[in-house]
Amino acid sequence: MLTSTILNEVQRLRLARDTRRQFLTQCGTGLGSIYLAGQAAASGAADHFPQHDSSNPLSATAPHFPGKVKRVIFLHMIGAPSQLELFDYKPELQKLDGKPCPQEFLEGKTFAFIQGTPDMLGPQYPFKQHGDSGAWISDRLPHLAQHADKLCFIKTMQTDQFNHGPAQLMVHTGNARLGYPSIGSWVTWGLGSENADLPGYVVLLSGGRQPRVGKALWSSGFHPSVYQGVQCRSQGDPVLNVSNPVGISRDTRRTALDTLSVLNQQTHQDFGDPETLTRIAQYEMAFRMQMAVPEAMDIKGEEKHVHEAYGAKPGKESFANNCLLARRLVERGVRYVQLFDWGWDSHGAGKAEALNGGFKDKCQQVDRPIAALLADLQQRGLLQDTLVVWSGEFGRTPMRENRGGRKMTLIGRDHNPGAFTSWMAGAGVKPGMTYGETDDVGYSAAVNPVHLRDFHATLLHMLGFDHQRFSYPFQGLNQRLTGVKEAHVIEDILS
Amino acid sequence: MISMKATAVNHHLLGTMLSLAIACATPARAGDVDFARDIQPILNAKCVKCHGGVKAAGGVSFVYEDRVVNFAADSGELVVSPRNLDSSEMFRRITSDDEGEMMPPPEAHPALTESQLSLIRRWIEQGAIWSGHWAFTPPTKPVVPTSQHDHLAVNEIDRFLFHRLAAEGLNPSGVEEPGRLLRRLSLGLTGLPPALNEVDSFEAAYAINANSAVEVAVDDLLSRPAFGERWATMWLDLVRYADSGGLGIDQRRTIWAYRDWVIQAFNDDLPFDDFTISQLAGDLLPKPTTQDLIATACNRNTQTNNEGGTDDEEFRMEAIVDRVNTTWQTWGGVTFGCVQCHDHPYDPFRHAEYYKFMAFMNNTADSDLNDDAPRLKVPNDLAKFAEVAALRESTLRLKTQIWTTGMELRDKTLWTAATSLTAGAQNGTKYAVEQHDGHAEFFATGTVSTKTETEIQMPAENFSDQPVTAVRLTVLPLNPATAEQNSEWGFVVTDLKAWIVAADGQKTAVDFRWSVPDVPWLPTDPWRQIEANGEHWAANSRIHYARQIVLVPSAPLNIGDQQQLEIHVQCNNVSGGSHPLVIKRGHVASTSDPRWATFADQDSDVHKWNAQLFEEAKRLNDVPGTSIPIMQQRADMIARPTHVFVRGNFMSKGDRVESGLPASLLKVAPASSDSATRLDMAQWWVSEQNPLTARVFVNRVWEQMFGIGIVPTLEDFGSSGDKPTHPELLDHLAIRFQRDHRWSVKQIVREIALSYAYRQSAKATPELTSRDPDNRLIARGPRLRLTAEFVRDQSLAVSGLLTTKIGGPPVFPPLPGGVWQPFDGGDKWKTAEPDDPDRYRRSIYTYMKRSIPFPTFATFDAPSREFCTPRRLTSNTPLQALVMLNDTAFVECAEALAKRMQHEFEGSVRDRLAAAYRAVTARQADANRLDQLLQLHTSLADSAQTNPWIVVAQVLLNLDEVLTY
Repeated sequence: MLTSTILNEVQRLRLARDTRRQFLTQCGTGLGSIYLAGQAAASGAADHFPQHDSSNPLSATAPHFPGKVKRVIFLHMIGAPSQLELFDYKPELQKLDGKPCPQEFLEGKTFAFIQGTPDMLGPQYPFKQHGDSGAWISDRLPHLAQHADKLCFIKTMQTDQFNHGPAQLMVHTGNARLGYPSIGSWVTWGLGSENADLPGYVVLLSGGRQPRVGKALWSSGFHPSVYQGVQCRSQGDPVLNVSNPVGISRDTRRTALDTLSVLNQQTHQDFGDPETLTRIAQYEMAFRMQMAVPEAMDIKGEEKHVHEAYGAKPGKESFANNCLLARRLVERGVRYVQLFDWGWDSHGAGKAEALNGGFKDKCQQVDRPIAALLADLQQRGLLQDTLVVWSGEFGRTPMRENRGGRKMTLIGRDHNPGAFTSWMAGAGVKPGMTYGETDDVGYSAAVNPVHLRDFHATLLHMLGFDHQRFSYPFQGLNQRLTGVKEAHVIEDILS
Repeated sequence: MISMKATAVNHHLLGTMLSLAIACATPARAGDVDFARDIQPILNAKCVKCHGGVKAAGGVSFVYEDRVVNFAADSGELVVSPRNLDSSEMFRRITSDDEGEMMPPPEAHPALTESQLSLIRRWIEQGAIWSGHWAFTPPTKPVVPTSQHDHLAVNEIDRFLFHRLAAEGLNPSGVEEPGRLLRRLSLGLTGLPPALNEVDSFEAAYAINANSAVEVAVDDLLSRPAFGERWATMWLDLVRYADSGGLGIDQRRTIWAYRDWVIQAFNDDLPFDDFTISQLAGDLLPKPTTQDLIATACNRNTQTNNEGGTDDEEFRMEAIVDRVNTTWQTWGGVTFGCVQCHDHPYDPFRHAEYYKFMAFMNNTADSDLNDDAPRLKVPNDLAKFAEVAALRESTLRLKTQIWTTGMELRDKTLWTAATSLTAGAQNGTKYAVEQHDGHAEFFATGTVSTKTETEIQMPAENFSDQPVTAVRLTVLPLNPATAEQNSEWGFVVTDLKAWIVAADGQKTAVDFRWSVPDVPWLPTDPWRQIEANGEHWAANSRIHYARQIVLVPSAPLNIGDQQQLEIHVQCNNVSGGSHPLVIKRGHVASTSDPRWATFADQDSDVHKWNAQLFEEAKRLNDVPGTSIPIMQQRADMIARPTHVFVRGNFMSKGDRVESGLPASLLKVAPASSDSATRLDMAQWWVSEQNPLTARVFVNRVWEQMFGIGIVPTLEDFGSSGDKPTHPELLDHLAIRFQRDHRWSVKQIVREIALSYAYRQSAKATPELTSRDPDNRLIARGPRLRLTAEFVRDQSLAVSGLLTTKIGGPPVFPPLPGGVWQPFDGGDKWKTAEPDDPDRYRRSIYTYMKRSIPFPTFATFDAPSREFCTPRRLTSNTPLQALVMLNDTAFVECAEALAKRMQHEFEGSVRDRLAAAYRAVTARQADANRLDQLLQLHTSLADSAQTNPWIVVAQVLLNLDEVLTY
């Protein structure tokens, strides 16, 4: 009863504030409005600024225009999987296999590890066409191949960065340096969340290691910290500190929170600070979160056939579990679910990552779960307004890596920012389509290059935002996910 | 339901709203149009998008006076003609009905309102005076105003505030309860709460003489070491201090001596001008102390990238850009970063001026190297600081003497260029030779391989008949014409050998006794320039220019007719795991000058200096301590040129620029010569003429004390930032700080802490909350939320766990499981166990890794220190509640507080609860509160699993009253 009184009070204050805001924005004459206008132009308020409830920065808000995508699941294969072994079929490259790389491919290029003149390397696995769309997919992804007609491939993704850290940051923040908000932060800032008892932006990791720049990939940057991604874990507390300490039962906690609320209510009477009421509400939400998060994160209750389809095993940290969790989270209204799977950096410098080594295992680990996720989302009607994105941070060279100028025992490829493949599926994009073409060896974008900026602009468009008007003021600039350079929505792939 | 202070989430919108409410209350004086107040906001809102710093359509820019007033646009019309409306094209356009001519154009409407038009008309009629932005004009000493509230005033701060309150029809609030006041002072000045006995004695003293009690308390707090810890926390956000390198592998970086220097500087009340100069240019002071050098680590807190395959030059430039932006943010409160790509959209800073300023910063020796070089040995023992400084200076002097002597002889020597040589390598690197200006030059063809040993053979015909006394090797960039602008990967000599080869192939090794490299102090050991185990002659990691080294053989070389001299230069280093740092182009010369035959021999000065240097360098090396990255200027002869980056891209370089300050601020600052140094720049920030520094700093102090700045946009004092609520008070404080208190931070903090304004009760009536929600007018005392570090510090303090040790290496308090998964596996988090005092140190000492921020701090809005953070945004979220209730550190605090209640406090349960309440709030609990706490305690008293004291302690530590102050 006490709680509901407080919530009413918060609501009353919010309305009072909104009314005043309305009055002020409508007050169109006098020095005040001049000042308002001046500030607005200078500060970026002229651009879209989400109007969250003043008591809830994650309240659901409307974008610029109705977007087809309501929720996003982003599957990032950390380390940059080889497009030439998965989706970008290059028979010409096969013919050049083992021959020295033509000099024109090397001039003016910088590589992370290739030195001197490397040899060309043909595709290491057989490809076949799949579905009505006839998409080429290699034999490494047999389950995913069955969903070829759901996928929209972009073969000509490009980035500015050829080192993992900056390149991963480019994918998720549009900037190669630390300190900028990630896509998920932009999206939850712009749209809020549909479930008040769960974080709006959840991050799930697999593959045994964190991405090298860590939390910076799900940072809120210069946005308020409430928009940063919340890492959920398969082992231990699913969200940090969500479990009560030993000796404190849920009932005891409830009793303690009741006392805390009464005392804080008295503090509010003493000092009249609306923040006190907000704090009471936050403690109540934390209490609800302690139930909601473990419930959402517990996959044990899923039916056996679901576990089998995904290859999920409760209690393990795996990509399969994370795919199943992603479905559970979007089902509950989480706005942005980010998966990172580590281990795709196939240089051929070690068995665990070589194209003829660990790469095969990585493919196996993600193939079934992704296929199951797509099928599951479709079966539950979620694919209509959920977008699934699959990508790395750059592509790999058609040349075989020759670290130190020497022939290596294992087979691998170096980093290539000039072309890589991403795909999307679900809301907003045309299914069963391929956009862009690389050259004969898959080294650079030949037709319809898509820079990450264009990709970001397109993603925002599908969510209902004009990327040029979706900005946040920082360091004197109206900062955008797409930055200051030109970016274009790829109209051709929109559904 | 998550919430956040309105100023945080919609801080622009709501900030605007509040500014409006407050701005409305001060009407413009009739007939007196002020450009900055009345006109500039209209121009910024309506005009500068097309006619501004980024785009200047028709040549017109409303950012610059000379592009508007009496300026003929591309059309030939005068934009604004003072006192002549008819000749002012601007006025014609904004009042035009013609869709093709009207401004703003129809698609960019709404058009200007009647009142805006009227203001612009009056401005032109009154002479179109371009008064300049207030913050770029030096502060002037304001007249202290009077009002009916003055009888309450403690100092002049109050008179300024009261005057405004009276104008608004508001009254100051009454004074705060003494206990709460002491808590506010204590947390405000030191970040720690008062102890119970301190509250008791303060209340007693306050009852006798309130003013004197407050003064005594403030002076006591100012003198505590905790003062420095609290204010350093603010400063470290600005200078983006962290214990790791950022980007790439985010490796551990040892730089905590700088953090300790900042704490000590605040505790010693180091004047802010010295504080500034030491950090920006301490290395360039005539006789820098060890502390001055440590201070320069300020700008070595930039990120470095140690990932394999990265371009060191790219990330060196990133660091320089960050230093420019951070310096302007920290000292100037100006968003100079905008100017990196184009002219500033609102403020009068030109694109090229960014790079002129960058030129001050562009010639330090650091270059994104993995070892963070150059570094300084910081002794563990403070008593050794002077000795280390003296040794450092003396070794530098000796090295310079040795080096200068060699360089002078090098320049006086007549060199004979080798005109016929061959060059090659065994590892795939290939060289060709061509003739150049009378010498033979070898250069790499195709891609070079790692670990290249460049082999140079020179037949006898290259040498004179006399024995060779010295050989000079020159190394060039592969493309000398472009490298000056876009540097290339350099080289590092790891070993050098030579032989005289007879016709039959028999080799006689040449012994080199000495070398004269072209760099005086990099490397540091002149007698080991070319040894594989020493520090190496190098252009590491980038080469811009020709580099030279003279090699002196132990005995002159006789190279007979059929013989040749063969030199092998081994370069085994690789940058970032993949870029070979090897020689790509070069040539050789020799001499028979007899002076080289005796150079640096047993009897020479050089030899003696070298012996002394060896001895002193060893002593320096033997001092126990840590090495931290510092600023060190590159020698003039290898100075880097600075170019404008076209649209901010470091790969696309425009005109070359010399160091200099922005012209718009130079109007009020001494003209700088073309050769102004980083030290001149540092001194300019704290010169009498700089309009920004003092204002920006006192505004920061004000924000820390009252929760909102006099200029709320701490990060933007430019024309697009908020205007000051109390401009006269800001100028008053700036002048007090800079002149009267001679840059004493403690004095300015003291003055604010003693003011009546700060002592007011924080109670707010609904009317006042609604009128001034952010307390910008200060009609009540501040009520602030504890920030990340102080939330934890306070819990440790009131529970009795806090360890008060000052300074030292970073510490590792408990961390939730699963958080620590560093990419750099060697970077271990060794949690301090419960018996280790380091588990309970103040938060400022917690190991600060950029890619894995300490979860508690991140949840409470602390930045992860990638960039300068001028202002923390505060949020109020359920995750914070979870930390406070469930995180190990806070649970331990609750347990410790529970023990205090059981064992330290006395009397009945109710008495103990009362004491605990007072310990956490510095207030007496009223009957109702005690009833509530007692009821909770009683309800759990019979529980087998639960200790009721711990549950009560948790409630106490989570009270809103405890989390705010």
